[in-house]
Order: sequence, then C-alpha cells, then structure tokens
Amino acid sequence: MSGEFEELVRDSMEWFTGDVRVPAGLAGKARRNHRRRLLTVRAAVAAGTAAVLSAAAVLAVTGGASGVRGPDTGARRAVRAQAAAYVIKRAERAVSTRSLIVEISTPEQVITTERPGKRPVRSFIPRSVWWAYHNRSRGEVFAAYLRKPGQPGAANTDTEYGPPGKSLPSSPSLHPYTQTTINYSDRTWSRGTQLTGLASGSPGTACELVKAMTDPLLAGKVFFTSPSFIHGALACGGLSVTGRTRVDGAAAIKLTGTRRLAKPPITLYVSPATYLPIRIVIGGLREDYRWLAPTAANLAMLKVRIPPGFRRVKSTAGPSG
Amino acid sequence: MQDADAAADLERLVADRGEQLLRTAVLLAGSHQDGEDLLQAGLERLLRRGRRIEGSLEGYLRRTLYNLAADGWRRQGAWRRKLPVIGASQPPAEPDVAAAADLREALMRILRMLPPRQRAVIVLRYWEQLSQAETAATLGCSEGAVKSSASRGLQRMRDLASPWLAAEIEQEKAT
Repeated sequence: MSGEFEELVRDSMEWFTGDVRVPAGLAGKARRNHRRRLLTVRAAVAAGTAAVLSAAAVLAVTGGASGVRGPDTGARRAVRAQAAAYVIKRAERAVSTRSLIVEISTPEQVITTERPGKRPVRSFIPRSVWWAYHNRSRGEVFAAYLRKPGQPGAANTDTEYGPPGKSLPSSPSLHPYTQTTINYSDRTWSRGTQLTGLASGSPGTACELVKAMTDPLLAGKVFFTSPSFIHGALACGGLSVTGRTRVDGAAAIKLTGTRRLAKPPITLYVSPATYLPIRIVIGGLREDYRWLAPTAANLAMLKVRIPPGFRRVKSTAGPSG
Repeated sequence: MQDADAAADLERLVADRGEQLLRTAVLLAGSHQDGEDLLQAGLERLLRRGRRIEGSLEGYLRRTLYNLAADGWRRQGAWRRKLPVIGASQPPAEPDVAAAADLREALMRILRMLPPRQRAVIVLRYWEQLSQAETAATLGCSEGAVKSSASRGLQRMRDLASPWLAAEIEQEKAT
C-alpha cells in the first residue's frame, strides 16, 4: 500500500503540472527585476547618507533637545490609551460569544487589488449572505452572471457546512465537514465532504494568521472574515481605536489596522452599545454584520432545504457524506 | 559572470530546462502563479549571485528553489500563505473554491497544506526521485531529518486523503 500511495502522489504531481508552460520573457523579467533592485538599493544607500546628514544638521540647530511634552498632553494620551484598550477588550469579548447567530452580508462589488510590479487584479464579488452558529453555517450566493431569466433575485447557490465529523488523528485542527450545495441555476444539488479548519503548521501568532487570511491574492476567491478572524486581529493588537463615526445612520466606534497587519487596510466598525462588529472593510471589500438570537426561526436559516424536483449530481467537494 | 554572459546563460537555462524547473516550482509553491513567482525569485537570486556560483547553474537554481520554498521565502514574509482555511464559521464567498474534483486534485491540495519543509522533501523524494542522501544535501539537513519529514508528510497526506481513498475503493468495488 505504501509504495502504491507514493506512486499515486507522483502520478498526481505529474497530472498537476502536466499543462505547465514557461511564460515568454521569464528570464527577461528576472533581469529587469534584478536591475530595478540594484537601483533601489543604491538609491536607499544614497538617501540613508542624506538622512544622517540632515539629522545631524537639525540636532546642531536645536542643540539636541528632546521633545518637550506638557503634562496635560501626557495625561490625555494615557486616558485615550486606556479607553482604546477598554474598547478592544470589550470588542474581543463580544466577538468571542458563541450564543448569537452571526449574519454576514456582502454587497455585490468589484474590488481592485494592487500588486507591486504587476497589473492590479479586479475581482467581482457576488452578493452573498451567510449565517454561522457554532459549527454550522449556511450561505446564499447571488451571482448575477449565473442567473437564469425569470429568476430575479433568486440565490444561485445555497450551501450548508455541517455537521462536523471527528477531527483527523494526525491533524486535530482539520475536520471533515458535510457540504451540501444547491445550485438553482441548473436545478441540481450535491453533498460531499470538505476538509475545513486551519492547516497545522500554519503560522503561530494570531497576527500572522490574520495576515495570511487577508492575502490580497485571495481577493475575490475566498474571504475569511468571521468572528474568529476579528477576534484574532483584536487579540494580536492588530486593530486600534481611531475614532467615532456613523454606519448607516447608527453610531459606531471605528478601529483600523495597525502596522502589525499592514496590507490590505482593514477598518472595523463596532457598536458602542454591544461592542459587536457591525461592518468590516478589508482592502475595499465590505461586509456587514448582524447578530441574531438563536430562536427556532433564526436557527432554521442554518439548514438547507432541497427543493422538490432538483437532481442530485456528483459533488465536487469529495465523496458523499 | 559578466552581465552579458549572465543574461545569455540565464536565457539558455530557461530555454533548455525552464519547463522542468517551473514544474518543480509549481509543486513547491502550490499553484501555477506562485510557481512562476518562485522561479522568478530563484532566477533573480541566481543573477545576484553572479560570478560567485560554483558548478552548474541549474544545480544552484534548484537548491535555491527548494531553500526558498522551505525557509527563506517564508521567513522574509514574501511567501504567500495560501492556507486552505475554510470553516463553518468562516464562510467562503464562493462555496466550491477549495473543492477537490477527484483524488489527484485532493492530494495536490493536501500537499499544499504540509509545512514547507515537509512539502519540499516530498517533492524531492517522490517527484525528483532523489535519494535520502541527495535530498539531505540539497536542503542542507541530515538524512534522519529527511527520513522523518518524508514519513510524516506521507502519513499526513494519507490521513487527510482517507475520505477520497475510501471513495475510490468503493468505486472500484462497484465497477
């Protein structure tokens, strides 16, 4: 079996790379990047020298005095820092709660992701609504380009994740989930197993994980915004309080991504009453949050219902579960 | 290597061995786009090293690709950590984005989930078909480390692929 499995791995590698072709100009591009890098390094060395010289000049003029702070400014700053820490703590505690159903709505939007040295990528984000509670979630995706005439506003796909199976012995963080998807465009449905969770060997700190989750290259493909994502960003000091504002007419506390999170820019809005997130904007992608009590009616939103007459097809998510 | 010589050598290397090198890079990086980026980074490293490279350029480039994939790239933060993180509480915008169509696709997704060094060992041992000693020399580690990485990596792949393997067996039985 062992030899067979190794053969299977090799065969899969062959299959996966079968259509790989070297793009034209690969070597030329490497040469250009190399040259650009050399120029940047030279410019940085030159700028560094200039900065040292100008710093020396400023010190000479001011007599090397350090910044003088009035006692009021220091006290105000301390109060602000304390208030910010309080907001972060409350928000962190609020998103950790497991007793509410979270509804995440994404409006239809096109986002542009800048890539250094490359052309920006434009991604179409279809309108979607997801509900998540404990280990189950369900979402409706409304992709206009898939919609058939005569079905205005109907969801194109309706997908349920859950219930989770037992975690794998070698990877406790990975669980097989049942994924049920209804496709309203072609009136089919499928059920299969999807491995979910965090790949072990993933970066250790919450900030690194949050950064990995917001990889701009995943824009338009997978978005990971969720209470656990927000919790991670708050816990690692990746968000700081930057003021008060209004979101759709409601008061909100604004938190923005710190240097720890870097790109893409993140803005989170939490309710000053509950400290629960009401909106998040990541690199142009907007998601709105609603928090619902787990009543029977609300819990029913976590369950897909296969409409009569829909044909079952083979799942693309793995074997039937 | 003078600049003009270096450019000519690089063009020749890419023309002769580019496809094979890119296939290796794709396996190490996990996707075609990332594979191209990895190979690009390797070529730039090769240009930077210039005249100081001793021995074959391809050998140097291969070692660079493996080491970038296993350590360097990741440490520098340039490694795009495309973690397959889809959870019940982390709904994807497009539901089937990380779905595996069949066993081979599932295995390649699972390969991407392995830690970089384990993945590099698996690619060296089962794709390049290098011996344990050659793999250890390429990655600059002990043979024992290669042996344990290969065994753990394969075991993990087997465990994660078990739902697909079971389905294959069922299908074979049915036919």
